[in-house]
Amino acid sequence: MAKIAILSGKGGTGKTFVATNLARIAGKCTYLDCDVEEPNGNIFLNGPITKTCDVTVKIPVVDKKKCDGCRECVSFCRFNALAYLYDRILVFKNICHNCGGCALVCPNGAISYENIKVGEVTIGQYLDTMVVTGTMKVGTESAVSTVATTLENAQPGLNIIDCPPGTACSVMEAIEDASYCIIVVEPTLFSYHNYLMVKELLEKLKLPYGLVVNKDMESTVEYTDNVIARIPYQKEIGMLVASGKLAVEHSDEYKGIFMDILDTLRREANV
Amino acid sequence: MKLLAMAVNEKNMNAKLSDNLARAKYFAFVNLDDGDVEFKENPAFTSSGGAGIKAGQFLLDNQVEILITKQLGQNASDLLAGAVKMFTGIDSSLDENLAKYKNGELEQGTSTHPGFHHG
Repeated sequence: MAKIAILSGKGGTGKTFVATNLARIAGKCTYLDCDVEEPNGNIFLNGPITKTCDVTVKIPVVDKKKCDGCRECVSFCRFNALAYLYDRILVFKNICHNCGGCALVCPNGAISYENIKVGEVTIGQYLDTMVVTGTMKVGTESAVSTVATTLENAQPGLNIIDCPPGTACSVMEAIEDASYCIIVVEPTLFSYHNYLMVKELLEKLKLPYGLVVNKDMESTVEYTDNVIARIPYQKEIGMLVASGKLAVEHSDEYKGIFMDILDTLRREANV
Repeated sequence: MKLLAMAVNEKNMNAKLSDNLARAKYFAFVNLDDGDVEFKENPAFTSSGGAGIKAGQFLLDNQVEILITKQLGQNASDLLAGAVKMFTGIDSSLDENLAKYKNGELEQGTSTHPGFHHG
């Protein structure tokens, strides 16, 4: 199983553009949309959805009759998701990281769990590509569980992971098992600044990576190291993306660029 | 004993009221009965997450009845609402905030912010 993670520091650099076109050109593969705050790969890889499942997390429920106010759970929780007010424990659901520790340390067995829904994962098919889409429930604070559940659907063969932007917890969850990472960058200072953050993260995690420079043009910002492809800044590409089309299906030039990226991945990541 | 709390980053009454409650270095506890002031370190200052809740718990554990703060995170607000009387502090020293409170010049209630955690 190979997992190629497509990520970027700055949003809007073209993660989904690269990920969806790569999936299309790769033929039989699995596309996992882990950009769960706003997944949109299925606009381009648009096929029938065959399965939908809920993402749930376990949140502590305290039995007031059994709780004697010892506060072991409050002191244990390193995220401070529990507080003791007068005579009862308050649970802050959005802060809880669902570790289960509070129930373990409770000497009175007063803590059990309820499942609450934090997202949804759908599975569909577009030509040869299995399309897995994670969508976070609006109002939920942490994306991590939905990203993790999306990734559980990785299949034997090639998996292309469309990551959230940035370098936060949800990104780390998405790239944890990656065999190779593609950082999508654009020639702007903003993108360069955030690229350095992603680079630092990947080097800390010891993950191999290469850069795809999207919207490439003459600029004061130049990328020279580890560049595996350059996609020129062209009006045509903007028109295609804006109308929900895959560039590789409409242009031999782009098809060539993505074939080259795939060749690089075959060399670098045994795809 | 009626206790009033204010968040601050230095241990003196001339210091400015902190912009942030949960991440302030200290809390000034003012005993309104005899005017005594005590500064205590905020245990949530270095907390990696849920600082508002931890700071709120600290205030509850110290039996604070009144809180003067510029604003409040949503979680701290959920925890303290009903238990502590809150007033919106002004951008000035603790002394001035206390004086204004005593004259009934501080607005009751506070605005909340959604927190500063990103990911």
